[in-house]
Parts: sequence; structure tokens; C-alpha cells
Amino acid sequence: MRQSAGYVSVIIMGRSISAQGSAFHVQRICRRALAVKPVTGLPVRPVGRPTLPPSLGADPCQCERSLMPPGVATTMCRRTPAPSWGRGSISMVPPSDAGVTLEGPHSTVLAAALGGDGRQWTAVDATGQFGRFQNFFFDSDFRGPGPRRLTALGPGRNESEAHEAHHSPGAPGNRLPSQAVASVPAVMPSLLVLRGEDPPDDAAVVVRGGEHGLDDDVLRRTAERTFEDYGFHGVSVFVAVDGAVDRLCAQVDEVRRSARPGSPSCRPGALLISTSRCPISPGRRSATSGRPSVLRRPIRAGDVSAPVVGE
Amino acid sequence: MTGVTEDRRWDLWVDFHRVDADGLTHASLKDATEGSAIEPGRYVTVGDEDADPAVAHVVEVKANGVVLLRVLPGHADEHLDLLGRSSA
Repeated sequence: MRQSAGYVSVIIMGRSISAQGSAFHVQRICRRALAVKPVTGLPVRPVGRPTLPPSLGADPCQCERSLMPPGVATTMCRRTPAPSWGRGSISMVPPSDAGVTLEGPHSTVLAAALGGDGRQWTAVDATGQFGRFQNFFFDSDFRGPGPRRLTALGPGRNESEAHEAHHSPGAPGNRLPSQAVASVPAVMPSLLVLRGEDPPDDAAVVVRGGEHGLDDDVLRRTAERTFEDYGFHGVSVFVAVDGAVDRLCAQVDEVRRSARPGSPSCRPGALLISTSRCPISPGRRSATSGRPSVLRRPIRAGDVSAPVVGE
Repeated sequence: MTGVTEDRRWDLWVDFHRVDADGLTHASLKDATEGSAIEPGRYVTVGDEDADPAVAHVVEVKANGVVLLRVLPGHADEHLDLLGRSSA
């Protein structure tokens, strides 16, 4: 990577990436800033691609990928346009097929995400834990903070039945069998559609521009604002895919604003690396694989080699 | 973080990265400088600790205090004529 666009705060995430143009919020970052406790009581295990009800269509969210310059993706997708029930099916497997009540100090499901293929939804809880939820429907007509309940369809129920049960839980015939109900108390001010693919691979470079872009205070503030806006703690970032860090820094206005080349105020950013496969020059790699380290100095040529995505 | 909301360099602190697919920057009334009028249709100065201040058009102010802005390109100085105006 050439140092051609001033200093930026760069985070290199671990794990795997499954689609190009990833856009997501790095809850890990704000978790560090917010010191949020790990999720408890939210047993989630990945499942295969969920099947959306036919009424939802192939892309119910009509989410626009909004890829910016090639290899760069925006951090948010469009909200679902219509406040109708059942805009998305959150794919989740509760611990038993009979359903479960998911409650815990930080286990509320707060947002749903749309996968890169337009079908896969990912639930995001207050701590940014990603999990795939099956047979849950959520009301996208969330307006204003306040507890909401997500109602599971439960075995054998369809979308309209769940809708009725959700809005008239006490009505005769609308009460879901207790063993089939999985309601999740959630604070969901509004619906944010996220990309639901796996976190990026070792080589994906996540960028927040500016000298202070990764300061705890800044992260905390923006994460809290995201919570007020969408109901989960999230931090907006840009992802450089296919080694497009230079291009991202040079062309994306949101990053360029904060990473002003040549500006006297441009001082060291922070480089966080993760995993043993992180694309950073030898000698600067974190001694503890999988744990990020921070480089508190300007990013220089050679710090980050050309990322290779999808290996 | 010091001097963010106290600093009159801008009317409203923003995280320039918080842009949705419509190109709108999401901010909060909580981050408005005291005395600033953040109302739909108005042009205000926005900024953060790193970036040069910019001028933004207030598109919407939600009941929960979320402010949707369209940040104009360039430095705030380029749009001084807009400040204080309302598009309404």
C-alpha cells in the first residue's frame, strides 16, 4: 500500500469474508470502547441459508449494495422501504425446535441483516454478536426507542399467523403455543439493514479515517449514536476489498475528509491487526494471534502489504 | 474528547462515516452546539475532531433526535452563503 492519502485508522479484521464489497459495522471496535460484556443466554448456532416466505420475494429488503469505487463499499444499506410486517425472516435456530425465550442482559436481538445474496438475514444483538436466526419475524415498523418483542413463528406457523399473534397476542386462537413461542424483548428504534455475510477475511482492511477515528471517546460516541438511531452499538467503517485502501482513501469523501493528506493535523492513526494471517510486515505482527494490536504511528508503506481477499 | 460540542467550529458534531445508502449522514441533536438551530431545511456547519468543517443541509430531524444531513462537498468556507439559510 502506498502512503498516498494521508493517515487513516486502519483495522484489519480476522475471520473470513464471503462476498466482495463487504459493508458492515464493526461491533468489535465499539465493544472495546464500550466494554460491553459478552453475550450470555443467547445460544446461537449457524444454520444454512434460510428460506424466506414466498411473500417476501427474493430480496425483500430491496437493499442496495451501494458499492462505491470498485472494491469499496458503504457501511449502511438502505432501510426497508415499507413498514410492513414481516419484511425479513431472521434465520435462527433456537436451542430446541419448540422455541425458546431469549432473554439475557445483552442478548436482545436488535437488528437484522441482509446477506450478500439478498436472502440471508443475520441478527445482531446489543453486543454486536452475529447469529443467524430462523423462523423469527420482526416488525419493521419500529419507531422510537422502546422495548419491542420479536415473535417467532414457531413450528407450523406462517407469516400471517405470526403477524396476528404478534399484534393480538391475547386474541382467541392467536396465542402461540407456549412451547412454540420465542419472543425476544428488544429495543429497536429503527431498522437497519446490514450485510450479513461473515466478517472479512484476514486481508480485508477496514478503515476509519482520521487521527481520532479509533479513539475510545469517538467510538463510544458514535456507537451510542448508532444505538439511538438503530438500536445497536455500531461503528461505521469502510472496507477496502481487493487491496483498494489507496483508492478508498483517495476517492471516498467520507474517509478523505478525515484523512487529509498534508494537513498539519494529520497525525498517526491506529493500525490494528488481527490473526496470524494479517497482512502486515514481519516484526509488527501481534504476538498473540487473533488479538489485535495497535500501531500508534503513521501508517507507512510496507506496513500493509497488498491484501488478498478470499484466500 | 474535549471541546466537541463546546467548540463553535461547527453547529453539529458528526461522524462523517455514518452515511447511509441514500448518502445521508446520520447525526444527533445531542451533539449540537448550544444555541445552534438544527431544523429541517437549514444549512448548518458540521464537523469532527479530524475533518475540516463542512456545510450540511438538514434533511430531517426525527422525533428521537436523529438528524439526517446531506453534507455538501468541500470546506465550509465554500458554502458560507448558505449558512443560516433555509431551503424551505
